[in-house]
Amino acid sequence: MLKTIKYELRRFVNLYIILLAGCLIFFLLDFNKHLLMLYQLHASIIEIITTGLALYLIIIYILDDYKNKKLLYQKASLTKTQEFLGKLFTMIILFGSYLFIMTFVYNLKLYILYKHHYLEYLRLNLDHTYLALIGRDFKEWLYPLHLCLKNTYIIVTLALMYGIFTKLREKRYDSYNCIVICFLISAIIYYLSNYLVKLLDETLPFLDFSYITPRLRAFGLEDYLVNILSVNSLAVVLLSFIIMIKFITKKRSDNQ
Amino acid sequence: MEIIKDTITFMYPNKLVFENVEIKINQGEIYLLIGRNGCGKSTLLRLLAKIEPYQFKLHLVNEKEISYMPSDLVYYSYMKIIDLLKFYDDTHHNFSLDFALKYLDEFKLNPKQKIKKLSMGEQKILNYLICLSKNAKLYLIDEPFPYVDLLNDEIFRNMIINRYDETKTFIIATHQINEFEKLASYCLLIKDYKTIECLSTDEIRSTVSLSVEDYFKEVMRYVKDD
Amino acid sequence: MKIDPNKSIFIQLADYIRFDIYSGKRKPNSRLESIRDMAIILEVNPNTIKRVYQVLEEEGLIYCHSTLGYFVCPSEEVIQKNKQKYISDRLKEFLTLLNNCNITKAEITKIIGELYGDN
Repeated sequence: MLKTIKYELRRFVNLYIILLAGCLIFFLLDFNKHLLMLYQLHASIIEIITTGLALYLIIIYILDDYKNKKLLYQKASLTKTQEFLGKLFTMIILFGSYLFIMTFVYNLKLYILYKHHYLEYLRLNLDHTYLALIGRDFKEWLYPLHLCLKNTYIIVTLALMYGIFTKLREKRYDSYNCIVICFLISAIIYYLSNYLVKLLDETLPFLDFSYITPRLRAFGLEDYLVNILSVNSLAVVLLSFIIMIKFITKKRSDNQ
Repeated sequence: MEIIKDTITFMYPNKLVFENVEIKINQGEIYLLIGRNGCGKSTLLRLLAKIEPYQFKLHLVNEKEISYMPSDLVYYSYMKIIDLLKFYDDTHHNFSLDFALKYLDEFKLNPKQKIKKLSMGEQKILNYLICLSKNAKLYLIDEPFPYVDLLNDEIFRNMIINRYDETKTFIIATHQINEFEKLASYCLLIKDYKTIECLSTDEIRSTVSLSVEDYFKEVMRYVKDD
Repeated sequence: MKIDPNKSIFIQLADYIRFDIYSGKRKPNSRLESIRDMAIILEVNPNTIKRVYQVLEEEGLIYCHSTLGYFVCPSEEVIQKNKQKYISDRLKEFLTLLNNCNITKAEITKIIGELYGDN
């Protein structure tokens, strides 16, 4: 399995370095003090890039099947599970490390600008509605992790999609069916779990879920659909929609 | 001794490829797989290699002991020749790096070269090299000869003879019948989606005094399209 | 040696070895190429070569030593006998063919005389 990781990582090293360099350059550019935008903008950039990277990796791995790259491992001495775990860990290493590096740089930049006031600054500049609704004690030192954890959550969902896809392929399901099923299941799990966190937080207030998905706790169930407008969910829904259309058209032409 | 004896029916979503076709492959023979364009040579090889999801019984050989060469080389774009060879060495226990490096030298390929910069012929050579560097029981080779010059073709044939023993079976699909027919003991001729003829090459020569190439042209010239 | 793909390779190969033995090019007790080496030199299926060797062995023209390989028969007598039989068989075939052309023995003998006279 380690061997798989070694070769799979090398596939993406160039892209990784470009993304890293790009983001770092961006962070180095805007070193002024109009930082109301800083939190939102920089955080969104990190979010978009890491989610984009995750999606890109998953799509590449799914497309491998179509482009015959699966032949590289087909007759290998590795079991399917080892191959899958190798690819999974490659993905985790790549965006996990990217996320942590950029979060660190992000915090470093804020610290350089604000020194010991930096955590206070973060608190002040978090989503205002959210703060108002929560009104609870926060462990400020956890704030930098919010970003990390939210994205980790997305990453896990995406990895889950890939996992479901490979399992379905093993059972010799048709590729189209696989993609549709795995995207839909993962999208459902993603939404359900978000709702679950909210529910748990309401019913068991002594458990502090504040550090998991702070932003979501601000939304009621009715506002849940607003969540669709966030970049990650939009990608999932959009892709599922496109694939479903293709799937339906294909089925229709088969029956003719 | 048969390693495969089955009837195959297979279709892609839009196309029926084989319908109740009988196929019998004996161990220790070298097969030449021939047929017109689009008749299903590559598909048959993929089925036999267990790459397409299709069930049939394989005797005396297990799935990991099959070495399949697709008609296009498969690699990651960052790789140099030596990277791909090391990849196979690391992940396939029956791959022999020494064998590969020795023939790499004979073909005059530089291991430090990037694969995507190689010519079509060089990629074919590398593809073939990798397939034969595995110590397998069944070799399935899809079109090894296009783009490869005649002297290298000779080395191709030598490699097969060097690998060959009675426990190994080779099936080679090609349009360049003349390059290979002397080496083959049997020829599988895909006449249409319902028939695959299996004939001993020497028998063709003895009975009709035609080379396999000429026999193929004779037989296929007047086959009706259904 | 050039192999003609239009004729049975088995027969061509058997003849090739035979003629070498009859003509003395391959001396009695000399070693034949291994099956694999012969296959490489001629680029022919190893099984065909194996069959050829087996047939020649059955005829007594060559023998197989279990570890050292195939060798030409040591007895000159056996070789000569085999040669006679082979030529006789082939001539018989050809003469049967000639029968259909309505040619007499005298005519054949004359033609042979002329051919040898020219050499």
